[in-house]
Amino acid sequence: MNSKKTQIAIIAIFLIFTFGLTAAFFILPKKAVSSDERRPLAATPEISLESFLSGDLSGELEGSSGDLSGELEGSSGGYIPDHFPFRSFFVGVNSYFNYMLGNTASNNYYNSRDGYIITKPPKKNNSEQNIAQLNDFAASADEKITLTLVPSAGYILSDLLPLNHVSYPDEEVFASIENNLSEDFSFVDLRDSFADAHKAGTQIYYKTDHHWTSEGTYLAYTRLCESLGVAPVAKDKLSVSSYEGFYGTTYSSSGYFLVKPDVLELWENKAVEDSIKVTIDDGKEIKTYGSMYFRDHLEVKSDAINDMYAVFLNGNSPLVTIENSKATSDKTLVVIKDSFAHCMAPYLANNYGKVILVDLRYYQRSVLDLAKGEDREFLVLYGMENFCTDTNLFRLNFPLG
Amino acid sequence: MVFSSLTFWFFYLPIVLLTYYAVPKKARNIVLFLVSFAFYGWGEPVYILLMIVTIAINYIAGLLIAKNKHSRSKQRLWLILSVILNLGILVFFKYSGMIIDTLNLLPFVNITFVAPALPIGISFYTFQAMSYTIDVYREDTPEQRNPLLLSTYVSLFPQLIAGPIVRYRDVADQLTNRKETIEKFAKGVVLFLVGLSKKILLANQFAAMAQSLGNAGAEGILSRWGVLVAVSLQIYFDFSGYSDMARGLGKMIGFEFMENFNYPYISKSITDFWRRWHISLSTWFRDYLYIPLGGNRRSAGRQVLNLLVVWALTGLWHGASYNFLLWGLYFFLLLVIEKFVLLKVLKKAPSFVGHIYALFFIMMGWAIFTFGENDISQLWSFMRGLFTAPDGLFTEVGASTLLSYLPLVVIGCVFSTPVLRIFHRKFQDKKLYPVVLCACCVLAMVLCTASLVNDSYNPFIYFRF
Repeated sequence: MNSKKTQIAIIAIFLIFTFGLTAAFFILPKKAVSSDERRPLAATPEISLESFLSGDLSGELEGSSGDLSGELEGSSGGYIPDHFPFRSFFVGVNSYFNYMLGNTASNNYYNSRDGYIITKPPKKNNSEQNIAQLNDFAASADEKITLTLVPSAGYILSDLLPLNHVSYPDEEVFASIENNLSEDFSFVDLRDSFADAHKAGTQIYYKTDHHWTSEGTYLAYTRLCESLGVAPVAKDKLSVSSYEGFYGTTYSSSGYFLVKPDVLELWENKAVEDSIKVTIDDGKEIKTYGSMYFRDHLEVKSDAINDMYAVFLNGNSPLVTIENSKATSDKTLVVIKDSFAHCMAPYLANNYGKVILVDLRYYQRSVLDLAKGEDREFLVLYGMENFCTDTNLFRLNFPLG
Repeated sequence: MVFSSLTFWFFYLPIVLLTYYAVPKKARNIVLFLVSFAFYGWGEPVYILLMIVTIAINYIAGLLIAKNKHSRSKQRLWLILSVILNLGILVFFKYSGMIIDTLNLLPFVNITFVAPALPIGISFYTFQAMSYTIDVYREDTPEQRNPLLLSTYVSLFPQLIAGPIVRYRDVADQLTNRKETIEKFAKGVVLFLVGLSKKILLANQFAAMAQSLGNAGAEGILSRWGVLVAVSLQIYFDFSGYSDMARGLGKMIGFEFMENFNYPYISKSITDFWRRWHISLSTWFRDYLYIPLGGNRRSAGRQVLNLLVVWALTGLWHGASYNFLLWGLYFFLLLVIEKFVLLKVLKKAPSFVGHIYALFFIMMGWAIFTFGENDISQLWSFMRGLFTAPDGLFTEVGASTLLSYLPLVVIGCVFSTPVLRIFHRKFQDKKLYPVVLCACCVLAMVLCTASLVNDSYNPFIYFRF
């Protein structure tokens, strides 16, 4: 560093980088929401001597510091980090850098082969408690009740994971179901069908999202129908439409920006299209719709929160009722579920005059009272990760009000 | 404010550099004074008042000591008064909670008292301010009649919150006569980026490693050793990274601060370690406490007593908790043993023996330092677990974590030695050197920014509107 030229070059590089990003911060337009993070971004704070002296200004500008464990999901950031220029580029650089250093689970996602980004196994396992809650519920319900769990993507696709990974809880949970689940249940084990389909080259899970594809879901649907005792709608009766450019949750959270987007498919039964009525209770108001598919989610907007998977039933809601006047039976199916069921429900609507979807994370009233007196059955459908981490199943037995 | 934040790097620093170099030389200390106070007040503006009180105490004491040149006893009186006031503030804000908790252990005492929040950097700037008054008393330096210059010295933002603890006499001259040069600025940039990388790319990662292994609660003997290695690397890169950043920022505005770390993990003994670790603190305690107490010019018994006092206080300086006292006394014990017996033995032994011995006890020290704060029994079970394995080698998650961070641990170990410095010296005259150096700077800047941005990245997956 003895030559003046080198010294000047170093200084220039530093100043250009620093002042360049500062300038970019002020010049570039600010977004109201982060479509990658699916949350609103911090609003412009008021800069005044008062807000400085009270100490509020620093908090609003800087936000709360990052949480190492990543468990404070969705806590809002400060104005500066939220609107920092080239934010998603930098997040991706960080992920790839950690990945190259051998930290295969950067930001809790495995950067896997064939463009898959797969969620790391959950740290906790509440499945024993959840099974106990289900047993209690089955004891108080007289109707037929079926349980199925969507195996972890990482468990089925383990051949695609990086060599250094933590094993998934699936074996343990399925063993515990075998031993502890009450006789009242019929249990549908999807592991073998999924493993075979994966070997045969079927894409069961999205590469950039934690959900299952329409094809994977259809496979599960046929298996489920065996247990429910209904005839699945034949594949050739469904018309498939594809939508490109689907960047899902694992893409957003991991920052691996080099992966390619997924193609989202809708497998629709056009024969029942006109006979569908969907009622969505979002906790505040109840609205009815004529379709199970909310196609406006398929248009990707740069300044809005995008989630193409929300094309199914408009995303998460406490209570959704699908009525189909042309269904093969007029029975009612009450589905206690997480978002994996959103892709499944349109298939089930072919077989049940009424499908009611309850999300216990948001619905706190009595599930036993739903469609009481009707010819009903219960289905419990959860993704493995949620079944291990969810703490809301107690609401089945201890509803509010 | 901390250096390793987007706010500091991309907002505070540009403002400082712009205003500092835009104003004429005469006004630069005023700029430094203003931006340093803004730096300190960021987040907790009330503590600016506290710092002003500390500055005022030492300013007035310095004037009074200088005024009473004819009477040593009066000088001593003012010195003692200022030391009492300085330490009184420090004790009240830092140690009152600990003292009250201790008193409450007595059966007949029951004091309810809400301890004040710890003002950031108080231990650092109080020691700096005291060094001024003591230096004036010892006539090592003339008194500072300009309150602005004394304020600038105490509040100087590069070393304000995490050192190095700059003695007044070492920078007195630089306050008024310093030269900002291109060479200094360029070296400052490199040093700042080295420090930033140490903090963000290494220390923060080692913290994440220790956490994901379970910290003191790690299961399996290898996981516990992994935690200890991670914590040792974290503390070193965190602290020395901060010192590097401080020195680099100082150079950018024309100051030269002392080196605070000199590859402490290659020490051959604990005595050696403390000459290489947080040098400015050991120097402070040596100059302003150990030597005034008589140092090692007195009898062996008195020497040991002096060391005991110095190390108990060094321990407590690091935090208001008994584990820090224990940590200080632990080093007192090791240093006394070395002084009278072990150093002679180590001198004769092959050098790897000394390295292993020193590293082992340094790391055990970090266990006391890190895990003893809230719960001594947790520390005890952690330390016992380093040598017994009732719960096996590691858990599955532990093994995966250890493997994930192994490359980084290797990098950390290499960077704890002077290998890079030696390489740098040899490479310096090569043709490619400037290009490689610039490339490294760009890489460091991009990676550090990426990590800082990532910290604020909070994807919200199960959103609902």
